[in-house]
Amino acid sequence: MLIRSVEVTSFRVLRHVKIDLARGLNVIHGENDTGKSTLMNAIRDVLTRRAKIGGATQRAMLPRDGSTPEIAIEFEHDGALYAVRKRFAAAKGTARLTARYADGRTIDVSGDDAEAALRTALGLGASDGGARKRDEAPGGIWPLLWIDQGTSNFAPSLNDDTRLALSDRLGAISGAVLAGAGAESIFFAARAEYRRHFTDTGKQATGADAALFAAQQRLADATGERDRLATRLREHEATVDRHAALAREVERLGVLLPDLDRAAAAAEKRALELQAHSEKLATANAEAQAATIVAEQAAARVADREGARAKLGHEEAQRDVLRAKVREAEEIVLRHDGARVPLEATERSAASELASRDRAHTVARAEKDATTARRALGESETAWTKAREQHDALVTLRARLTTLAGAEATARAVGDHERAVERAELELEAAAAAIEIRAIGKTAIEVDGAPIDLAPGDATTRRADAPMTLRIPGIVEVRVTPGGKDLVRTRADAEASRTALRRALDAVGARDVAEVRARAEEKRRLDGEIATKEQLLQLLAPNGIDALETTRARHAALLATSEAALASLGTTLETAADDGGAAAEARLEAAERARDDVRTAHDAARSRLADHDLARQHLDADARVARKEAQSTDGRVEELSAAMARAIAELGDDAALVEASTRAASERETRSRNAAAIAAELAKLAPEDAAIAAERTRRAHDGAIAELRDKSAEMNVLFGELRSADLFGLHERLGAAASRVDVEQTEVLRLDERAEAARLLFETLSECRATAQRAFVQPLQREITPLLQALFSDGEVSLDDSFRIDKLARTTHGIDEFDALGGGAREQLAILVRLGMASVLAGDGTLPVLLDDAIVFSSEERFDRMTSVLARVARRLQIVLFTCHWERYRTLGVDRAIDLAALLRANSAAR
Amino acid sequence: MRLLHTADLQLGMPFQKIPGDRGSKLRELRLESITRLADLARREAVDVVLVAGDLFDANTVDDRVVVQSLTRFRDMALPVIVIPGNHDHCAGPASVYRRPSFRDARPDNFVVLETREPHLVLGGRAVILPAPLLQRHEVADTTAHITRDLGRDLAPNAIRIGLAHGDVVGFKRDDDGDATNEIEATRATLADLDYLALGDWHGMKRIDDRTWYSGAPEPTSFKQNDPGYALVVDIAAHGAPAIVTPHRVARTRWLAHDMELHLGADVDALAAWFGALEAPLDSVVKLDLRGALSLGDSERLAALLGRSEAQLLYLQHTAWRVLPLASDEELLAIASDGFVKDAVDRLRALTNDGGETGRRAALALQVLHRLHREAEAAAC
Repeated sequence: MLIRSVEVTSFRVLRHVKIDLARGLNVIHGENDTGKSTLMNAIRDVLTRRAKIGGATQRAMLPRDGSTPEIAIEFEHDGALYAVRKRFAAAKGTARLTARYADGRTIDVSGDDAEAALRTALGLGASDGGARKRDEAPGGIWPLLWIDQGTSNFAPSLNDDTRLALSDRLGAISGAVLAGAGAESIFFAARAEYRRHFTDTGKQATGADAALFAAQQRLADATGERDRLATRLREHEATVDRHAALAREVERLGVLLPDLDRAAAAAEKRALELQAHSEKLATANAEAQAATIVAEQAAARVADREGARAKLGHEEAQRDVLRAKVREAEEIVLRHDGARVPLEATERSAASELASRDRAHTVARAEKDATTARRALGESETAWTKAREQHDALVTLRARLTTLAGAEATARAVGDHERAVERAELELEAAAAAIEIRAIGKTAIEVDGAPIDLAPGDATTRRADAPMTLRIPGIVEVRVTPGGKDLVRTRADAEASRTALRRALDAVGARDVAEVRARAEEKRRLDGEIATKEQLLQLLAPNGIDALETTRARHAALLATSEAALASLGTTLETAADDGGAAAEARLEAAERARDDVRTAHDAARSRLADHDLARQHLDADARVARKEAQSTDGRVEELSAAMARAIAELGDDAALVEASTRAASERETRSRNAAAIAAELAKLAPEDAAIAAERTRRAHDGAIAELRDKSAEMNVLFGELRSADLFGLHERLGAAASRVDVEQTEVLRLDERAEAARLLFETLSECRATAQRAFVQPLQREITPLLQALFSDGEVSLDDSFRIDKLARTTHGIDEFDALGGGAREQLAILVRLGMASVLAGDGTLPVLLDDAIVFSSEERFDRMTSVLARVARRLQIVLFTCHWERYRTLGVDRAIDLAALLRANSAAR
Repeated sequence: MRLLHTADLQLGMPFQKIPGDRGSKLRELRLESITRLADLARREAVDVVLVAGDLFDANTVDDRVVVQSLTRFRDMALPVIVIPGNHDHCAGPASVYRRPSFRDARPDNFVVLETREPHLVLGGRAVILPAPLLQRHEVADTTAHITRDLGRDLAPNAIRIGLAHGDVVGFKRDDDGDATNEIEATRATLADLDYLALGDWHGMKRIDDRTWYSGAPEPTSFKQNDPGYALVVDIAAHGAPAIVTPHRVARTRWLAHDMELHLGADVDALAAWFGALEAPLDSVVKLDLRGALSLGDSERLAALLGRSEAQLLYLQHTAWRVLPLASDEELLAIASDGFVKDAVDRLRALTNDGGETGRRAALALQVLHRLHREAEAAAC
């Protein structure tokens, strides 16, 4: 379909406008509120709304002046040329359609016929569309192609007509891979069948209506019940067997018991006989044992007596030896005491010699100390005297210095004044007139009354800085009055300087500057002298003169002490021979040597005496020990003798003891023989074997009884169990349970097979359907993909079963759901998909795509790409763009540009 | 004397392979076999009824079975001599014959021989030499104690009748017998018996002129070993020959049939086989089916089996082993093009692969066929 022209009269804001549209890209531009959207609505309304229309829809079409809206359109479609004109009014609406077909046939119809012919041509179905609400989209494929303002970023929502039309077109292109609604209903039925058995994730369904799950549950229950009953039956059968075995055992024991009884009685009798014999043997053994004890006691007594005698003899011999030892020790001590006397005398003489040497040494030491003290006192007195002299001279110099205080400062001040006077004089010189008086002849000249002697030819120069009178008496008197304020001021300054100098000199009582300077010089000299003296004093008395005084006093005291010591020894110090103490030192050393020699001799004598005394102590101790040992031996000999006497009194003499012992040994022999004879007799009777046999017989008997008791008890218990009421019918119950297991097992297998068949069917159908769908939408993808890649270089869009945009896949961004994209991308994608679908729908023909301000969310760069896409598709589709941005399209080379505002103005002017 | 020889009634047998009401019905029919034996005994005017073991299916059968059976034996009003077999062996206090309910309900004409002691009947005209099973499995010949001399002192000229339960040595075992209790095949001769009445094998079997298995009065399985009889035995005097007459007493027919199905005609043949059954209401049928049928024929087979199941006492079959294989026309009818056609082709290829997957694919095609028909029905 290609719209050739539209003429709109009295439609809302449009009073009258007629536009012609070209094949390809048309841009209708104008400012906001010019009527672009109204024009697009007019195109839509004339094509899709019936003329006889009332209510709100018709009211919305009315212009302000209330006249009747009228729209005419011309378009080509399927090789025919159509002209439609409609006046929109409730009952008076008119419609007329003329058409000229390719074969030359024409029609010209009005009213309902015109409406029907138009609807048929546009594929709008039989319904006349009159009931369509104001905002409701028209049928057919047109909502896909006509994009209203503000909806450009909505995904195209395809109506049934469009889906069918697309399916038809795609089917025509790719053949009948999807076999219509019948196949779909089979697919959905297979899916329903699948979902009876499985969840969406392919797991086995477990709900209340999941038959397989229920059967599995029942099978598990039945298996559990069967196993429980089978176990019960097995236990029962084991109990039966156990009971039977017990019965046999009890029977066997019943036969065995009388034999065991008899054997036990025989064993009992034999045991009694053996017991009597054993008692007899025990008595004989006891007697033999008693006789042995008696014999052993007698023998022990004999041995004891012999031992006592031997011990007494030994002690007596020991006692005699010790007594001799004591005597010998006492003699040695006496001899030792005699040797002490000469040693004692030697020691005493050495002690006396040592005392005399000690005193001589003490005197020599005192003399040496006194000599040393006297020398020290002399030295300290000399030092003190020298220091005192320097100190006194320093005091005198310092007193002199005080009179010259400030002399240097004064000299500097007076110097300053002197220089000021000299400067003033120089200035005065410069300022004053110089009067040169040259005598030409001999004459008297007076200057200010004072005569000047000048020889002829001589000259003198006078400075005239004050009024001056030159007179040659009697001849001439010249009064000179130098002028100028400067001179007066200079003279006053000079005078002031001189006065200041004078005053400064007077202040220090100096006659002149030279005197002041001499004083300053004198002070510097004194400072130097004082410094020299102070250094000298520092050398003589580093710690001050008082320290020297102290030292001197200390030395004097030392000397006094030494002299007192000498006096106490009854001697005095030689004063004459002061040789620096060398003689005294020599004497002291000689006295020391003499004393040490005597001391060594004395120490040796004393040591010998001490050794002698120590030796005596040892000898004493030896004698004491010998005495003690002798006493101890005496005591033991006495004790042993007493004990021997007591033993003889008590037990008799040695011979009596020997005789008693011989008798007891004989008795022991007799008893032992008797016991051995009885034991031999008992051994012949084999008591161990008999005891073991008796024990075994008894145990066998008792064991049999116990076993019989236990088995009977167990049988009683088992009897109860075997008669348990729940066993009756156990057989049938087990059979029924096993039967249920069989039934449910079969059912589970059957249902599982059905479920697996349903799965296989559904999966196979799903795969085939998906493959078919991919093949089916491929031509559409082929249309969309190049457009898409103009915007998204590597983008691929996937569409779902109903051609809805599903996802956009890009290598840079991954996969995005449509709704997750930004507004710009959504807009671009939506328009591109619409254009792609329009291309498919157009087939070999063309279709008008109307876009009212449709690229609004896109960036500049994307906008440009979009417009170039539009330019590209305009080769196959009729693109009609309504925009308020003409400048953006101006460079595209549009096929027709319409300035709607200008057109309206022109029309208005014409009118 | 004239005796009725039976064995292996196995009352209380659960028939676990036959669930639900059908199983109950079979259990009930087993109890009824006592009544049919009683009818036969009366008709044939027998003197005594011998049961050669396994009267009950287990020592733990339900009390109802015990009491119901004893009531029916009481009504028989003939001496009934029973020995325990391996199923109802002497299990001490656990034995069904020692159960209080048994003792309370036991009629005077009903005697259980639980020991190997000879037992005189008919006022000493005959002596019964029993070999009861004292445990489930005896180690040695259970009839070893039956010698020439046994019972001679009680009645030297009496008719000597052995009564035992077990497996005769040297003969092909009957598959329904389940004990390994040995019995010497020439015992009757060795012990100078006039007749040896045996139990354990469920099919009737003559070992020699004087030694017979009566078999069970009602079949218990599909094995073709000739069950369903009771024997009437006439013995004029000790040393005279035993004249044995088998009588059919079974009510149920147990039939095993196998068939391979490939064509619609095979389904027709099976239908004809069902139609030819003599007593369908009392028939227990086991059908071993194999093969592959078109989807339409599969549905016909299912319908036939459904009908038969409703009619027969019990029908067990392996129709699941008959693969539903869609024909080209059927497949074409599902879809001639489009993705459904692709799916059909794929599943069909899988079917040809065989195995479990092939079977699943065949079933999936069957489901698809059904869904298709349902969708068409909904569209109409």
